[in-house]
Amino acid sequence: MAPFTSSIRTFTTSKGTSVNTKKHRRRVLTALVSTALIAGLTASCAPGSKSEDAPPGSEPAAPVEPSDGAAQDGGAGDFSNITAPVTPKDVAAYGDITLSVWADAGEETVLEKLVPLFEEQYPNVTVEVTYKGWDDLMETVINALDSNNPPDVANSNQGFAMMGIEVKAGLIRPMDDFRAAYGMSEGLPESGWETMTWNPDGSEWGSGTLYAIGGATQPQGLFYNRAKLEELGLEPPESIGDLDAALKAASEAGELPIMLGNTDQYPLGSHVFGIVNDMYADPAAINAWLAGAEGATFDTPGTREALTKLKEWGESGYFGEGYNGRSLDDAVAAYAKGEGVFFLGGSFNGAKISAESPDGFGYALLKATSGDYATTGTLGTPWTISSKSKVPGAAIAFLGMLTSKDFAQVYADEGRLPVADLGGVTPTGSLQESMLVAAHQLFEGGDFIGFLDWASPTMQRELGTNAQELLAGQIDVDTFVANVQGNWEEFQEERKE
Amino acid sequence: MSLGHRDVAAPEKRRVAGRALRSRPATRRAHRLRTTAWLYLLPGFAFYGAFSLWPLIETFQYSFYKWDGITAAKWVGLKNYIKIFTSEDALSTFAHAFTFILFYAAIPVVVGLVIVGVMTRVRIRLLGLLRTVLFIPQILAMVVVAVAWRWIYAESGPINAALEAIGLDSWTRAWLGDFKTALPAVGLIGTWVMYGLCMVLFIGGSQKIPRDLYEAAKLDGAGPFQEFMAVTLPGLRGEISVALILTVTAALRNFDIVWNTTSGGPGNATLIPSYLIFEGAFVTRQVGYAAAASVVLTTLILLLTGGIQALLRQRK
Repeated sequence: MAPFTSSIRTFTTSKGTSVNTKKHRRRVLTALVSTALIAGLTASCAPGSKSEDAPPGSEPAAPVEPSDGAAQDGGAGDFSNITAPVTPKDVAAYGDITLSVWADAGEETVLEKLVPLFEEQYPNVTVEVTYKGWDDLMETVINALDSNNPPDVANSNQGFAMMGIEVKAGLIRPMDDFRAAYGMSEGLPESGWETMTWNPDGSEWGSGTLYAIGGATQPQGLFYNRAKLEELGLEPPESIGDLDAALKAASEAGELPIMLGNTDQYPLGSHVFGIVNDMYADPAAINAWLAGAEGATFDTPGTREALTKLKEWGESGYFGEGYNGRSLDDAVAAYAKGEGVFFLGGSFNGAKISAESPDGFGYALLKATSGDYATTGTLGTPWTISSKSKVPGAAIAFLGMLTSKDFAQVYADEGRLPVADLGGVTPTGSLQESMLVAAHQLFEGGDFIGFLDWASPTMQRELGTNAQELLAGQIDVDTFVANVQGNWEEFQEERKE
Repeated sequence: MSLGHRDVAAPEKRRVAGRALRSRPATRRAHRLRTTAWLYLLPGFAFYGAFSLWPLIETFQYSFYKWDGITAAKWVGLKNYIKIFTSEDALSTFAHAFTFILFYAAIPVVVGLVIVGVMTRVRIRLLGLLRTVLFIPQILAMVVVAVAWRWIYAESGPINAALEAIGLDSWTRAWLGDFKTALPAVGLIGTWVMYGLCMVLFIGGSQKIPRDLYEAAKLDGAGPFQEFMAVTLPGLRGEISVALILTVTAALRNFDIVWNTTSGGPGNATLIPSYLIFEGAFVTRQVGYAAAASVVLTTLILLLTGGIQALLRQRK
């Protein structure tokens, strides 16, 4: 503001004009000089250049790599490639330490139970957990890991904008040894792990090195209101065909067929459409597209069919009115209180719904048109260990305990679906029982499909806006497909640069 | 504003300097005084430089790179800028920002002026209370404002309830979720927040206008409108300029209200430049692109506020 105040004002003296012009000229000169200065600066040193001299991915170098396995950090051993679970004795060698954990606020109820147990078994460790809301965590955790004082354990997210960068910058520790040492291989679909495996420079995922593990699986599925289905004389849907018929029946009976809250342009375009897309499209093709495989395309007959179905549901009023003005939280709360017959979303919504009514609702996966169970989901919010952690042994022990069979019931008590010992836990009510059944079906013969918004950093909004426009009748399926594929192609080009 | 003050004092200073030519010790003292003055400014400038100027320069630098904020950046020249000026989405955000100027700046200033115009004719009781009440939106945290308005605009909120009560059921809708109404709905929140500020500024300004001007206007037979145009409006020139600069800046860099009501939706209906900047910097990690958008937005704000000052400067 300041420059304008003085340069524009004219003096009232007779010589005023010339004074002003001279002043003005000097100002222009100053501006030119500073521009030149800035330009020089700009060219001389690139941001983030500290890692420029090292090839990508090599910078981090696991800090704990004593050549002879000798003692380090107060006598603890080498944890860079473990072959057996870390023991309290191993961790005791660190002396008194603090383990810093950054977690999604959704993990709070579970970690509050874990931390005392952990500190009891590993008495030399004090665990300090920082909880952050999901968005806040995603916006800050990479910078925290990049700092000189990174958290030892942190939540991450799949996709190029999060894990991709963490892998590329070498911020997180490979976890293949962890998975093997803690026996996390059995009974879990490989497709769940693939989303957390990356090539060395973080530019491709789907195979390569595992960089994270999950604690509780989170499939996307269908919640149904038991009482309302009974009133309508319907059985819980088992396939997309059943659901379609049930929606029609619910709508004709004057019920709101699907409860949706989409003010944040989420979850209609990503999760709800994702579930429908899983019903029609080939899982392998979707995953290849998400991973950015050469020649992959969003424009498949299955996806077009799914979009047409979504549009049809919107036009038939199955989502009701005003869903773009209702927040997702409000929608889940309203659904739990009995508004709407179905709710499409992640199993993680189950905790809130079952807190309101543990037996009033059910949850199911749907059989795709192919006849198989397929749904969007993961083995849980990824847990990563900082490659700069000074206490990797403690970090490993912490995640080992979190994902152990002994701890599985704690997850279940919070209405969640533990990856370990899914079959052995006692459900909190019939809603969770149906969720456990669904997760079993998926683990046994189904496929995890990735979340559509992993495809590119801007895909969440691309899908969100296009879905709103599609249902508002502003664009057609062709435009939707072209826009989304266009976004994908632009990102693929950027990635190769 | 302090610079403005210095300018007014400038001719005075020159006169002092002119007299000083005749006595050399005075020159030296003046010189020393000036050096000392600069020393006093130094700490302030150091802070300003470190926390305002330097980040500004860095942002400008980033705008020429493709950078994820962590790993090595890549020089891409003007590519980020080209992307902004060729992308329909990005350009539409600037169009929305200009629409917000109407709601954040133009309407509040007009409303504020009307209130002040009325007040110069009619004595309003409890003026102090009224001023406080109307100023409250300015003090509230924007998140609180946004959450409250989200409820007001909701499908089951009071606006729709009122419409239903008077039989206008067909008008009811989720105001923030409708493609046609989202932008004006968000804009009106801005109007509500900003007009209190304008009004308080104008009331303050109008109290400085000499009463005899009004008396003179009355004697000349001016009606309320003529009086407003001839006395109140010119008298408030400075305040209008300040109000416009504050509100236009607020409109262009608006973020919190949109973030907490519509997240830019439905579709791209309420997407604004600052949202793109935030998303690029923290969510999609396209720091260079976000920096370029910041530079464009900053330039735009400087040009507009500069223009406003040029138009409304006090003539003597």
